[in-house]
Amino acid sequence: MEKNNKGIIFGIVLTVLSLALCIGVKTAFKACGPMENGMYMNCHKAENAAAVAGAVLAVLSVLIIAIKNKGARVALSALTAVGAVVSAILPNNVIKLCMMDTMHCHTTMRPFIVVVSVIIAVVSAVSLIVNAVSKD
Amino acid sequence: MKLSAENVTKEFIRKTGKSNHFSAVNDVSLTLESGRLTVLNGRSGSGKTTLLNMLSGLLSPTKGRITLDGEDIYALDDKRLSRLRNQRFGVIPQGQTAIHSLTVLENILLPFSLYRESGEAEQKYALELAERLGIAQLCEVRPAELSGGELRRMAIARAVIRRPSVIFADEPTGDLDDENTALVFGFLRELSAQGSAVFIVTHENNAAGYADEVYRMNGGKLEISE
Amino acid sequence: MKSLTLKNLLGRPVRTAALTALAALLSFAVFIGTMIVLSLGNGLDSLEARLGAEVMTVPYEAATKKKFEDVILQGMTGYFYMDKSKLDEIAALDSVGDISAQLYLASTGSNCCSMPVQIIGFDPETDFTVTPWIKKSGGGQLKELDIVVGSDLNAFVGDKLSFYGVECNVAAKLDKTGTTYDTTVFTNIDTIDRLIQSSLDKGMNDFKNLKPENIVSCLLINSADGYSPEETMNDINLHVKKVKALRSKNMISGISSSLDGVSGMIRTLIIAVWALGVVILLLAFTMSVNERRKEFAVLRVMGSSRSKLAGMVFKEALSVCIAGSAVGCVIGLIVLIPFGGAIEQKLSLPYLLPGPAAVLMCVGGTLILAAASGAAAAVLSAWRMSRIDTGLVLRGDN
Repeated sequence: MEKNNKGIIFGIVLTVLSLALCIGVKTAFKACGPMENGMYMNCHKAENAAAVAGAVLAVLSVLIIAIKNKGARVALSALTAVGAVVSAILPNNVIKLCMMDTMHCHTTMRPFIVVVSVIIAVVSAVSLIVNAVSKD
Repeated sequence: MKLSAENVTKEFIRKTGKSNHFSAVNDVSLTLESGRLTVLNGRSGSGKTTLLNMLSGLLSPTKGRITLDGEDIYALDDKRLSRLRNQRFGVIPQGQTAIHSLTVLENILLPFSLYRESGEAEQKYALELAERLGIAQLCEVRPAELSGGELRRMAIARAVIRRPSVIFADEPTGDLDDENTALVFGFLRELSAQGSAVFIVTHENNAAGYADEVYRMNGGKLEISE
Repeated sequence: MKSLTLKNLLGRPVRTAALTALAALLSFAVFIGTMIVLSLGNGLDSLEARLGAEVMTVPYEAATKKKFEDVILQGMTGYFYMDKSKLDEIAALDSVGDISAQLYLASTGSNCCSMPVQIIGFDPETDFTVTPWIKKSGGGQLKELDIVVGSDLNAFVGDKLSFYGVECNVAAKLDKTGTTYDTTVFTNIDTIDRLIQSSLDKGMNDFKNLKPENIVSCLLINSADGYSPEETMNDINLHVKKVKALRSKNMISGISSSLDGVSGMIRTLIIAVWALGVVILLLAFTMSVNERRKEFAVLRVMGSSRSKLAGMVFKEALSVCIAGSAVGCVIGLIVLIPFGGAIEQKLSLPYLLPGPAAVLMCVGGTLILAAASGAAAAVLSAWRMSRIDTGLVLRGDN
């Protein structure tokens, strides 16, 4: 029962972090604003991609809470870890950001996405290990 | 082995009131020997615990000496006296005295752990003691979950784990029922039969039945009891 | 058995977590504050080094209308020109030693950049400020249409950037300086001549009827032997018309005093936070130890010496403080390094993180300070526990 609780705790922590990523990147840590002509720059695509990644990770995290099966939890934790790594490399590597590193997408959005995604990856890796070694 | 109090007096200074000095223990002489169980009775405030503390190396007398096999224990520095207390004396203090962050077994092994001397043999003996005192099933439990009687038995196991030369028990049956009281006194009697000197401070009337000698403390003075 | 210290700390997880969090918060404040102060100082040194010359001479209007200061210090883009004959006129003065010309241009948004970018052209034959810096960053000689980009520009060696329809090759990327030069593009005189000509041809230049080979924007000057920079500046301002000579030191003195102000404020805050924190730690440890007087009395009865008891109290305090400090420093690094750009933007001052050695020293210093504070906070409790009257304590609760 104790090990089950541990699994649930990881799921809750991951859900909170994923939601923080999804909501944060759309609010306090968003990309650069629109240009004078009203069009958005490329970094806006990265913002949307990160929000989607956060939402997907949140769904996976909720499943970790809901599903009691050890094998399923291990698999979900692995998926979450991989998803978080992808989310971390999205900005500027997969989707190019603005020209100058002094712009909002570089100074604020990208570090936020990277830091939160790395934390999610680490926590889900720990969750994978804890669930894998649990006696169930 | 002989632990002797030689004309010991303990004076305290009261923090309030006009007459500042008072003698909790007044010119007391007493000897504890291996294999003998000594009981000390007396009213509250008569100086029983003060005498016990002086004998067990916790409180230095104002006058007189406490000697172990002829050597004044208070001539030792604090480190050596503490080590002596750890190795040669076992004290069962008044009231509930568990360390709450440790399990029952860890509490019992504390005299060894303090000096990092807790090994397999010591663990084995601790489990035997716990078995003997009927608390073996509680070894991995924290003290907060134990009853008064179980805590007292844990304190006894802790006091005797080092097979001390002298065992001091201050009101060991204070909050116990009759069954546990008999168990405790019986166990202490057993230890004395095995060679330890046992010194019990108690209000219990039936303690005398277990004793080789019974004393009474009256206003700081020691009297032999019938 | 795990050490008694560890057991005591783990046995009261909420209290231990709270004390650790407090130590973490204090260490975070000290670490971040110190790193920001160091970075500001580093940035100012970097700016002074990057300006490179003792005296800078620009067209009179560019100085009086603050256009030059806006470009160099405020990170805005701009360009201004004077006749190249001024170069010869100034070079002829006795007080002038080394002299090198630079040409300025600003790009439009265009296909290269979402924002206008400052372009500075330098003369490789006379330059003494930019070339050493390019060499230090691993760049070599610039060929035709080669450009060197500042560290904050999202372009890398081998990329192609277009300015006014002229495609340029990124030949090198400069190391970070923490100044406005991080968003600047450097190139040699021939290339910038082409860019200026192209901007004129497209009608996108504020100036008309210019010949790029006959103009300069800024002259970088070191005073000759026997003359002070002040004398050189006065000499130029007195004898050469329609130009303004400025001392680099004077230009950055305004920034320097802002920086001193900010640094001073941060230092005061750090000291105040730390002092308050130590007081809270002192209270917390005293309460924590006091609550366990009976347990300490029991340990004394079991044979713990006075010094051992005091040692236990110290160990607990030190463990909590060092662990908390480590957490605080880690969080500090997570904030400082990824979000360094945001901090730089908010401060609007030259800002350059020191190297790994300085960062490690700061971490070490923070840990030592935390340990010392923990020890100081525990001293009173440790002393009291070592003097504990076991008889009184054990009887007191019964």
